[in-house]
Amino acid sequence: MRAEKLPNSLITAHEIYYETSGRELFSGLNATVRSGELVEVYGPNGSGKTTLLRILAGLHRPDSGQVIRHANSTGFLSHRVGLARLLTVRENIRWSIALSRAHFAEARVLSVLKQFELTSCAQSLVRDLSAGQVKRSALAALVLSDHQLWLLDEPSGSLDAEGEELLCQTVSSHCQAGGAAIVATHTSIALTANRRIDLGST
Amino acid sequence: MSPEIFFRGSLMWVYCLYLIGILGLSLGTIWGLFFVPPEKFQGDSFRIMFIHVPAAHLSQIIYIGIAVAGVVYIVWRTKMADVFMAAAAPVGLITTGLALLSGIVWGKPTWGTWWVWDARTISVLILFFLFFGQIALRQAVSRPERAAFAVSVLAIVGAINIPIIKYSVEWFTTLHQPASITLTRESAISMVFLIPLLINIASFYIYIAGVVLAGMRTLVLRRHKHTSWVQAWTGSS
Amino acid sequence: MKVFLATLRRDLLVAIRTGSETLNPLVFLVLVGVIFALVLGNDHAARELTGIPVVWTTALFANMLALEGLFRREQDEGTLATILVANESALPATVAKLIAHWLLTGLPISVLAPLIGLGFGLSFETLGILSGTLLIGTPILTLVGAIGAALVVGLGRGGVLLTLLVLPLFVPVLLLGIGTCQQFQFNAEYIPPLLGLLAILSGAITAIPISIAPILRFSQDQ
Repeated sequence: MRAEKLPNSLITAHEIYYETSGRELFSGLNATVRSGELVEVYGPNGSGKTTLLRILAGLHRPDSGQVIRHANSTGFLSHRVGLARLLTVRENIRWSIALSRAHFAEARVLSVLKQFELTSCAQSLVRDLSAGQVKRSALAALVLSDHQLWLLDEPSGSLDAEGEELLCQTVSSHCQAGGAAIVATHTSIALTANRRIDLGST
Repeated sequence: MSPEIFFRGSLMWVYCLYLIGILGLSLGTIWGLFFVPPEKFQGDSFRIMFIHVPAAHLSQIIYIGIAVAGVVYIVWRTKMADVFMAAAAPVGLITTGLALLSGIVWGKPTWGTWWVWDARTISVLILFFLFFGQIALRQAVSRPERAAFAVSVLAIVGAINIPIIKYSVEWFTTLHQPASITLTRESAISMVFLIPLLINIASFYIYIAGVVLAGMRTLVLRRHKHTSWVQAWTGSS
Repeated sequence: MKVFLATLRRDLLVAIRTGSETLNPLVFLVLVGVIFALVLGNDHAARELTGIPVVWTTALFANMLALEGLFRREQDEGTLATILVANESALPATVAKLIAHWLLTGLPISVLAPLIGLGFGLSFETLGILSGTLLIGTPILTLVGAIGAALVVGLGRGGVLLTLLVLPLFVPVLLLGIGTCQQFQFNAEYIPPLLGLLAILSGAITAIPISIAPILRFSQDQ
């Protein structure tokens, strides 16, 4: 069996089977996400949202089946936000941009920092920020890294209402610009998802 | 090979290997202990050789086997290779332990000291720790697939290291203690000793193959406990 | 190259900001070395004889101590996942991490060790060789140790397990390193063990850096 490439598809999961400690988490899971799509993965705690996202990111290996990523680059955001605590927001962003081989443009960095209300704390260490500011910084780094495909695991955690709105805007504008995002949530945030993968309450 | 076919097909093999191994070991050991004349220089203490040499031999073979299985697992993701590694590591730990213990007991009457730092003793000692590392790493990792991969990597790295260790230790120890002591006087081993020794080595191989195979069967059963054929098998017998 | 330099710079910056954590292995090295010299008292012959093995072994343990932190912080902060998800950048980024780690542990250890050797009354020439063998040996320790560190990353109680897995693999480096110095000290043939050490280093440099990222990726699966 070979997964076929559909036009514009950024990621294809084909017949994913995965079990943890003898318990079947997914079986025969198929999904294709094309550019411009926003997919929400929905389910209660323990339903395997994080695992699914990590499988799609290539961090977990499915027991059988395969994941093919066609996207130029993938950004992954989880509860471990991927920022060095001993670096400043700016330094972290600089490194993220270098890592994703994106172009570093000072004006754009400043405008994104402003958009996420991080201008005042751009020079402070991530260690000294509040949880919400850390999350905003991680999102800013994600935006500036110019990844085509976003995999976001509970991105709304520790964000206030305003931050959540900002998140929704960011994600939908990313998708409108030709990117795609797969977002895992257990609470419903005001995302206008094209599709929903419900992992139910198994 | 499917686990079920392996499980059903291997039972006869386990019986045969056990039977031949135990018979051979009894023959070689009784021959070696009671019917071989005492050695010219060492008297009766040399008889430990009939345990020590097979154990030391086998330890290395088991480790090489584990390393080969590691390569097989990493390249082809063969689940049975992982089962072999899991079953063989504790057996290897025991045989290296046996080799070390019997070596210590042998060393005192022969050289007047319990332990001699030379290439072979150190290699076996390090082998002991490598087996221990295999078991410890497997236990520390919760997810079986990840454990299998980690253990394979460790086995391969260890196997690459063994010749390097041997070479460096040999070089280092000859530097420090000019070759006044050699472990076995190979030229001195006459046919009288050699035949029971060879019987013991061969039987030890066969017996340990049976032990490892039996261990693999248990692991296969445990890993597939949710499948219908295991449930049918445990229910019926 | 950009990824490599950015990651190298980043790791050095983090190390400078952690301060004491980076210095701990070096302080350990000095402390243990001094205690050994102290215990041996004023017996010059004993000091001269034990100086090299003691300093080399202490240097090895200091390296071992630092090894656990090679990937742990990145794992906890999630930056390791970021590196691994960015496919093509994983190799240069991990290589940069290894080099940064060596610059922060192996290099200062190689520079500091001879100073401790002074306390054992070793000659300047011997100290030079001691430093040289450490400069060749510590990169091997970092590389081989990195495999172990990558295998246990995220296991929580990795420290003792890592020591247990990696220490047997360090034996050849230790023996050849000490051997080279001692042969030199006693005016014997010291080139062969030195070549042995160099051979191991070149083997390790060829094979290990490319395999670290795949091992780390597997270690995420748990």
